[in-house]
Amino acid sequence: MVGVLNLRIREEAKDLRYEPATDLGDVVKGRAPSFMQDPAAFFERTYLTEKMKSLVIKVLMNLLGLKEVVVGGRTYTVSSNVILLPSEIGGGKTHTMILIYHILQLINSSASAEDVVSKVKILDEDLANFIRENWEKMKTLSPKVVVIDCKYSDLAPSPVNPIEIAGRKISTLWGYLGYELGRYELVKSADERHVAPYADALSKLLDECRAVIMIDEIGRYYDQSGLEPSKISSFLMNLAEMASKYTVKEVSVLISLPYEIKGGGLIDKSSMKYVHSPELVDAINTVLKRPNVEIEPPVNEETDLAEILRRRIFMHSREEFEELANDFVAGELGKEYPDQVKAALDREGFWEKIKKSYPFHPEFLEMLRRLAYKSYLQKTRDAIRITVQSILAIREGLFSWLDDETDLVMPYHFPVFIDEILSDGILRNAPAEYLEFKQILRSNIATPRNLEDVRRMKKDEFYDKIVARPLRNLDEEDRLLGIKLAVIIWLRSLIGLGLPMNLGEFPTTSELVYSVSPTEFDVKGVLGILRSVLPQLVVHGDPESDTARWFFTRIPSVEELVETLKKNVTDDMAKRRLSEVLEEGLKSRLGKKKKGRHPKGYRTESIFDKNCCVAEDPGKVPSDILNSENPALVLFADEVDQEDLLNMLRGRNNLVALAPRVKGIGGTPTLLLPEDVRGLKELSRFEGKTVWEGLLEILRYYTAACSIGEEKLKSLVAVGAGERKEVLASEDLLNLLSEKVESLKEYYYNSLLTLLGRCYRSVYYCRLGKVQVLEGLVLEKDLPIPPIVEDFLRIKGLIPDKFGKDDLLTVMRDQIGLDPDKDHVKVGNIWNFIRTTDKAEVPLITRRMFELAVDELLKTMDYAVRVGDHLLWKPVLRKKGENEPIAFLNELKNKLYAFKADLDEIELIPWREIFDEWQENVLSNVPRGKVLKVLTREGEVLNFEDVLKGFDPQTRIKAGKLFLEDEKYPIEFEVKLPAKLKERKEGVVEFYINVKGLKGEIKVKLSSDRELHIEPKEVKGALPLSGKIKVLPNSAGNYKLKFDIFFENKPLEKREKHIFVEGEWRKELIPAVDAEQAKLSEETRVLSIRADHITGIPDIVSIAKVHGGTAEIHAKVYLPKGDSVELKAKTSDPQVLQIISSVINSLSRVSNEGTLRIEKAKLSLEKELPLQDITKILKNPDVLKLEVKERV
Amino acid sequence: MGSKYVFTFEPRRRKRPSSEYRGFLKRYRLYIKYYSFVDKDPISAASGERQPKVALPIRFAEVVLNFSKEVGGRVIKMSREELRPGLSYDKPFVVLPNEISFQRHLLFSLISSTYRKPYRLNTIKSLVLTLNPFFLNVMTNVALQRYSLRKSGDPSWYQHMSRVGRAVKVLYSVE
Repeated sequence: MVGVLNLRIREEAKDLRYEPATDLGDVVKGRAPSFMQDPAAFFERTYLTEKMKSLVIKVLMNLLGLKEVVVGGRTYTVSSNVILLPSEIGGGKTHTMILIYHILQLINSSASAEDVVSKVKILDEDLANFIRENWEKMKTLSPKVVVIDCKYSDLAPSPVNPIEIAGRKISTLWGYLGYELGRYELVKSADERHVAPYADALSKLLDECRAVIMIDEIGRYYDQSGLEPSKISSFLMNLAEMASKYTVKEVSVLISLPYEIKGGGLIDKSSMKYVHSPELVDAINTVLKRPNVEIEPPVNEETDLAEILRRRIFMHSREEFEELANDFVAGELGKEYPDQVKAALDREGFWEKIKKSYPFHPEFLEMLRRLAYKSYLQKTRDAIRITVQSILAIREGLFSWLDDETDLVMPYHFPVFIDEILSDGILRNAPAEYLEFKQILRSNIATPRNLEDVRRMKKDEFYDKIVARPLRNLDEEDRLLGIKLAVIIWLRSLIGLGLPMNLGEFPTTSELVYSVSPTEFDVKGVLGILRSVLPQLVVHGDPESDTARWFFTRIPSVEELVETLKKNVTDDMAKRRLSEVLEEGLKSRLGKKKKGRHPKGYRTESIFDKNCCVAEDPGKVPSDILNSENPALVLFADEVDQEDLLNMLRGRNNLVALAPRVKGIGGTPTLLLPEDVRGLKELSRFEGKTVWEGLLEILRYYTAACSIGEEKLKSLVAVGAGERKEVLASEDLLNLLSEKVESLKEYYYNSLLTLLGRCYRSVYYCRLGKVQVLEGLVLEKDLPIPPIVEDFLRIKGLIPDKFGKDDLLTVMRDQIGLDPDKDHVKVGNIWNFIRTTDKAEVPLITRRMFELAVDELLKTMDYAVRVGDHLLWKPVLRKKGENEPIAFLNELKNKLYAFKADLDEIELIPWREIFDEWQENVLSNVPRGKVLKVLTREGEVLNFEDVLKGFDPQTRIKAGKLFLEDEKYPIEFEVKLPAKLKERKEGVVEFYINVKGLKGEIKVKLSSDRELHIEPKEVKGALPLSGKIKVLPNSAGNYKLKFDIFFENKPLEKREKHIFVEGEWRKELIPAVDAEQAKLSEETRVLSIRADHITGIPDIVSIAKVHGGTAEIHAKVYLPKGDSVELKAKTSDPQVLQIISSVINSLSRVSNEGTLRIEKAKLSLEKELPLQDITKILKNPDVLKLEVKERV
Repeated sequence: MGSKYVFTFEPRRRKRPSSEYRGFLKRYRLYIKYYSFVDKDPISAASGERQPKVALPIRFAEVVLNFSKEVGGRVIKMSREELRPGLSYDKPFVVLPNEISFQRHLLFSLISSTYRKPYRLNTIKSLVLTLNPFFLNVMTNVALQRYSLRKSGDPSWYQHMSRVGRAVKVLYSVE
């Protein structure tokens, strides 16, 4: 097979002299290169497009005066002698003019028709035939060719540069035209006076002049001639008008225009604005307004490119190429290709197309066409230039590192890595926005080097010095194909400027496959790799599909970067990021912190205080949290196993946990809602997956976005390379991208929060040995997480609003099962119970709440405490007005401090249990010179000992306050009460008072709280004073006898004694039957119940059950055969009594013929009871007797 | 070959029981002790007879221990030490393979010990793991230098040393 290397290439192309833009003037003057100067050589290199053919024929028709001809089966008509050649620079118009010049010169110089025809045949058969047919007439006409090339002063004279020919000084275009046509006289005066000739003069000048007039580069004449533009314009107008008149014959005027014509108007391309003056635009516009002007663009852009290139560059004929193409196809068809490649080749009709385009891959031409016709490049000229450069690069072996042999010129053979070619070819005249593509090239594909360097490079050096860093690290095969694809994508992106609005310019996946085919590599696979390594490569649409479009963006896509980085984010990294987000939420509210105030109700403190942490699994929770005294909150940043969670929570009633999910609890996990999947494009493939999986995915994105630092962005936009202008532009870009990254981060963070709220909806804690779940938590954005959880738990009742002494007593009584009146308990045990029990639904409380409840309980003085050996109960106050509970707590605190103990170590004891021990302690600790006083609830201040000896001292002391007073005058006070005092009976009280340190008379006033007749009520006398008083109580009860002692009419001391007055009672035994009838007073009390017969025993049992008491039973049973049973019992337990009663009943039944005698059946009641309470219970009063007592 | 490091925990009795904790932490505070060694057996290197390179009281011991694995540390021994019946703690011996991992670990211990709340431990973890080694070197050298104040009898050495941890907190606003 013949590869590109073996094709014969034209010499001028080899030397880079292929430049087809040689001027018409050069050819006229014989100064052009030989391949242009020689008509045959020129024809060989010219592919006669249909348009060019039509143009040549029309020029000849005008000359011959024909209006309609048929050439090669096609009809040509011409309507005007003036033909305009509009085309942009490099569009082929000069080439066309040279062609016409050569044909006419051939006709003029050749003797026979065949000479001309044989040469023109190289160009085109039909054209040759046309010339043969009209040979005679043409020869007769012997047409002149007038070339006005405004680049040259000798071909376009002007007042600035006049020419002198045959003694005439010609200084205008019209003068030159008149001279060339041999009719100078007609325009002589206009030429000499430098004014435009009249139209009729021109008409005469042109009519039957038998000439082809070609005017090239008229624009320059405006700028350089020194004539007023209006004169040139009026000349052009007159010329066009006159030449196009049907009366004018045998002349053809050809004017090239450096503008493209579309829809009859001029396209004012910005790139052309500065090349030609606006007057020219006006003038040409006016010329174009003439209805009968022919407009013929010379090249049909779409189809002729392959043929033009072949002709210009290669020395092979069409037939040879066809043969080579067939060989190529035959060779390739025998090879095996991947399905995707085969499909692409077949779909595009490659095998047919290649026959026409060989040795160019059809996509190469397509690319060239797009480059040349859709960008700023010159059409034909630059297309040829770029192609020649590509082919030369291939032939020089500059692509040998990419392919071993080159069969076709592929789209990736544009030598973008050679600096000169890049800036001289593809990026020549590129506007500023294209400069960024250099940066893209540098950071994504290759760093361009100058040609000499590249020539010297070895294969490996190519990879190290030219190939861009992202591609360098790929596998050999992937790298080669990757570079090819990247070059193609880059070129196509260049055409579309990398803007999404030009999406149609960018290649689809299938186009890319086709562009590098035939190839045995997996193109789609490599595209996938490219996408992950090239920072500025963007894919629009599903990357897996054939229709996705690939392009490089001028602004690197941060999203793509995130997408790329995301691939390296592991689950662990995502979970770690979650930990950090949750930690943020522990400290301050989730969501972006806005400037200004926090929302209403914002707070950071919570019941969990400092005991919050985020952990990945229960094994990683620090012991500081697990062993904290106070409630603690653990947030898990991962799914947790039920068993692990239970192990952690068990025995820690103060611990609550939040987890996205606990395996084994809560049934099926929550799935993502359709809104999530639709709303977050990152989750579009997560339909049917769990919220947790969705959260992890978003976390991956967030982690990737957070990992984009300044350095990464710099490498993305390749800051620091290139020219200063480029650096400045890239710095702007850097700022733009940083902002974009920030906004992207915010977007991911907000999405993250949404899903976070949906994941963390349950609070887990342990009670009754099981993990309990509270559902419905909502993590709002206006509070940190701990207060939110606290509020939630309060609503759910796990945290009580208040934990006071009653709650503490409930725990002690109902949950621990203590008897509050008897049992001693250590505070530490209660706390331990609350904190660790799995037997009860204890609340979640802080240590402080518990301590306050204990304080509250202690303040009631219902409990005494023992710290070590010390017993503390009612404190002895320093002052009467001091707050007793606070003094008590302070005393306790001091004791604890002194013992280095804490509240846990104190023992709570019901106060009655320690009263005796306590009062002994108190009394023994009264300092000398002090007296212990009691401020009673009634407000009286009494001597402690007096209270102690009085009635109900325990209650009175508990209700009162103890305090010490200085003992100024120690008083000896003794009172002797009568042994027994009965109501309405007089008694004598003796007393003795002595005050140490005082001498003189004292006065004692006596009084009582109840009706007690005292005689005398006042006693006076010298110290020591002793006396007797008579008291007569009115009724039974407790009496206080008060002694107010005065010295010199000033109160000295108040003392009191308690007197108990007995009532007079009579006891009697009455039958229960009579009790109701007997007129007994209301005060009658029952003391005991007796029964004489077995039938009375059930009554005794039922009274014992209701009121309690001690029963004594003595029964004897005599059985028939002389057996006997004797039963004697004393019990206070009603159940035992019940059993005994049934035993007696049973015995009575078996002693059928024997006898049963109740010797004693007595119930002594615990308390004396009113008679009615007993009689209403009795069922068998006949056999019962009641022992009652009654007031006398 | 550069020196390696080994660290272990040692409890010291608190002057007063802490009202914040129960169990072991109520009466004891854990200290971390770093020892350097070259060829010796790391466990004997970390024996009580040698002076540690640096020692400081720490909080959140489990997290500190876990972090050692993230900087490349290896737990070579874990023993359960009983202080009195019913009160025991886990005493680890962890080898840190190089200077950098030692520095990272020391800085993490320092920062975490200045926290009363374990709110930011994970954030601190990733911060210390990615900290620039030059900066890390500066910070730990300052800490070690301040530790040496201890020998001169200055009682405020700990405040001075822990200020390094506080400084990092302030610097990266992870207070």
